[in-house]
Amino acid sequence: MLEPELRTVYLEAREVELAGDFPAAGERYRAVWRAVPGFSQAAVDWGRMLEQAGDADGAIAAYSEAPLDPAAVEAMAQLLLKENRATDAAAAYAKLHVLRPEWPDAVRFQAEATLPVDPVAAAELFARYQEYPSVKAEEASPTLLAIAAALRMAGMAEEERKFLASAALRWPELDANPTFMEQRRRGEMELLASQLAGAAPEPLDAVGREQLAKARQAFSSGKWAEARRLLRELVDRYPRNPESQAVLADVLEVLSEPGLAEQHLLRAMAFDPLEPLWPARLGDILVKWYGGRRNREAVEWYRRSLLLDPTNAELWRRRARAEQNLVSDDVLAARMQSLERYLLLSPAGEGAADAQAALEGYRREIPVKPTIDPGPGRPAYIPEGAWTAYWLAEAYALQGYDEQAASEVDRALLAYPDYVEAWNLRARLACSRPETLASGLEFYRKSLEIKPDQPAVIEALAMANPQASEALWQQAAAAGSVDAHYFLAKSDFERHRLWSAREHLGFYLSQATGGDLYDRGVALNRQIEERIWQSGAVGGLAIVGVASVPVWWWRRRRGGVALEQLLRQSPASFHEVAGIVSVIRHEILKHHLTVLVPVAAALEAGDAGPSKWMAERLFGAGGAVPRFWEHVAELEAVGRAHGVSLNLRFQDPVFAPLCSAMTALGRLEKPLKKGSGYRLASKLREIAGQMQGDNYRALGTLIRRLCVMDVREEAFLAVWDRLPTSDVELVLDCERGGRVRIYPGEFDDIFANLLRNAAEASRDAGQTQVGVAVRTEDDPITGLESVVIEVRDRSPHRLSTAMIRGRYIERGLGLTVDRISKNGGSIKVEDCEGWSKAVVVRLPCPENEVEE
Amino acid sequence: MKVLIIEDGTEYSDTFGRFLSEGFEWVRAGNGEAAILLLKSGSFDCVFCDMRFDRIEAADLVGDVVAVSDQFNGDVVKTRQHLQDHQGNYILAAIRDAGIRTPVLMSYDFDAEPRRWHRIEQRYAPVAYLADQSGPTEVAQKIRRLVAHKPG
Repeated sequence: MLEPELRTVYLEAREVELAGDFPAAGERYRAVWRAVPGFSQAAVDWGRMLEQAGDADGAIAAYSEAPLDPAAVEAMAQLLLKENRATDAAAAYAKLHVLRPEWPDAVRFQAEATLPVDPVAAAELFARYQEYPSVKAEEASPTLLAIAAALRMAGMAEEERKFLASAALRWPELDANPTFMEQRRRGEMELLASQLAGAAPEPLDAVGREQLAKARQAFSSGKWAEARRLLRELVDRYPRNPESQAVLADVLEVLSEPGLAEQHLLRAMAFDPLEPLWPARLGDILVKWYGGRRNREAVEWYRRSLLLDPTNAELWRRRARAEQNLVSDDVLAARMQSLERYLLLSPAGEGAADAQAALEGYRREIPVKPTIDPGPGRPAYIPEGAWTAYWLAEAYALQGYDEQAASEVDRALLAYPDYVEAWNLRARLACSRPETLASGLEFYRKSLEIKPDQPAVIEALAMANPQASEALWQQAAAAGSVDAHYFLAKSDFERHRLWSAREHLGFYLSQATGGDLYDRGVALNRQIEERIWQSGAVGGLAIVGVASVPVWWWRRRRGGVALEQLLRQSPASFHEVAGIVSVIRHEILKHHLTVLVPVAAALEAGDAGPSKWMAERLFGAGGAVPRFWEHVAELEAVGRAHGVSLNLRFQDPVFAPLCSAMTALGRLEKPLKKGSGYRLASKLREIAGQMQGDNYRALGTLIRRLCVMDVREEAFLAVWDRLPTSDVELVLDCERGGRVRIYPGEFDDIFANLLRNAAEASRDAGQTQVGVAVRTEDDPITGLESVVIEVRDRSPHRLSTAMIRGRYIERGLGLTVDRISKNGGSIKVEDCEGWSKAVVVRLPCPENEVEE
Repeated sequence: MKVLIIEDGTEYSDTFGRFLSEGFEWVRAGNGEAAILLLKSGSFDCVFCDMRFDRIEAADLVGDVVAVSDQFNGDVVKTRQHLQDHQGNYILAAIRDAGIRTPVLMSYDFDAEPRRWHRIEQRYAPVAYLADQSGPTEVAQKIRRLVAHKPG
């Protein structure tokens, strides 16, 4: 409290101030402050008067005389801010925050003061401010927007995006603030655009394409582990190739690893963000494997896919299905509880498996997102303005902001009229609305004028134009579209062009790996084969015109090559061919056709029962005849995957008689079912004779002849000569060698690698010898023989079987192990007398000794 | 004559039941373990054993998975496939390991692998094999011959 005299002075100061004489008022306030240093209000008033009189420095000095008075500190901070002394102002607000911790504006003002100097620090301060529960969105938004703008100006788009996202989380009502929303969207779009622009997919070279084709073939043949191994190698070698990533994802999903599949699909999308198939596949995975828990995300991925491929009816159906099952988390949790109760009460009930799968999906861990490095960026021929606008347009389009996307893409096209990708985006945007579909197709045509070789664009045109689609599908197929072959097969099938349908579908099935279209392909394949072999397609063709038959027949007979040529041209196809042939031998010939003669005997004795029973086994569901043709089609698909057109029916000396016999058997379906027919019994005997001829054995001989080699000294010397090993001696002991079933080129690769490693390790250790010893051993249970090859060295370098198989060591050994495994062999490290160790490779001997 | 058929499907049982009903009684076992139980509990004149078993659960395959996987660099898929492809051999070995000397007719064509067959014959006799393309008549002949020449 003031003494009465001082109180009078203080009140006089107020009156003088009201009269507008600020200097006089200031003098009075100062006098009071000097007389009573504890009455800090007087110091604040004194400073205020100096401020009013235009003496900012004097005012600041006055305020600073009361450093513990929040009002004085606040006044000083405000003045400092006004005087553009941001750093001092920020320090003052920081002090004010200490004096008044409950007052959120101290932090906000500090943030504002910090902003011109350091926007990131301002954003951090704002984060503290937004933690005060009492702060309202409308109070916060001016500072918020100012900080966001400052971050953008400073080129910190990612920080801006996070800053705005955090604010949006704190104040959901900001959604209604158009300035905030526009700023946020723009920031997000710029970020997305930079990610899209950095996609930089890596194409496959010829070697990579061949491996991908092999992997697809393995996948479509159900050899999933093999497909996974091939694809892992491929993504290691071409890490930015989106297609390999996506196919690997398909394989991983089949192997029940949806988390890994998701990661690879995200990579595929990062490298090629404009491919519609992959977001759709990810949507499928999220729907299938997470018990409905990730349907919302799935819908978003379908949405993205549809933005890229708006004319795909099937995709709209899948999205609708996911949307139909979209429920809140509460409902989902309740549903899972119900399923748990159901399983508890009825663990072996009819729906138990589905319930268990849903629960597992619901509890399944969600994988972390992979980190992906950005690519090299803009090609020189695209102007920077066009590039930036185009990717911003893609980003807007991906988020569904079509108007902004259209506006940006127009800017891009203005800057670079031949920008193919921009035309395609313009087309996609237009095709997404029925009323602008026609102009969308025009945009696609414009794009094709600039660059004709675009399978995806031709596909889009074909999808949208069913009347003219066959020609377009042919164009797409010629441009390299795999899916086009399915649609051509379908079209051919509908028009009864069965052979052409089979050709197209065979190609499609050998290249595609999964998804709805693939399933439809498999179903169509069944229909085609059924139509060809059961309803007499050959007869149908004959009716079409007798004149055309000889030409067709001549082409069928003369076109394509025998299996031997495939094996010669592409020895790597050996494993696939051998697998299929083995299945034909075991499942078709051995299990089903050995009873043709007894059936014939029964018919001759007047007993029709065995004939009817046989008909069911041959032509019923999964019967031997349709399965035989499926396997023949598989062999032909293997040929196509290796660039060889096989003609097993007419050109193959081994398969042609089998096919002929099987065709003849197919014609006996009706008589066999009836149990009677003209010369039925003798025809059965004839067919049995054809099936049991030497032809089938000849096939085994052929395969083995191409892929069997002698393990002799010469083989190792030839490899050794190619290695830079002049200072190391090779000691050979190969007298007890044998023959192994392996393609010679692979044998050379395996031992070149092992011998090089042994030589280098020996040289490093000052040793001068490497040894190779060969012997044979047989398995006590199966009686199968192996050739055992020891690569010996005297290096002290430690090596174990786990290290070799676990691929911890030298580059290239992983591939060596894979090659050995592929050939049915093994590799391990063993002790070896006189040497420090031996890397021991066991390779199986050919089983068929007689034919060798 | 009572014959135990060991097969993963029913093709042989169906076929033999239909075409070789006279003079034969056929009993089927779906895997090696079931076969050994049946062989221990009843008297069979002969065993007819298929070679490839790719339609049964992996757990029902006879064979030391760890030892076999070592032959394939620890690859479990290849291990399973090997056990499936040669399951007849593993069942035959398990039958003999169980002290059962019943003649076994292997349904596998060893014509082209005489050295391999010789090793198997030496270790697991009495045993014979059936060439590919053999019909029911040849099966009956083989079984009769094998049983007639059973030692002891």
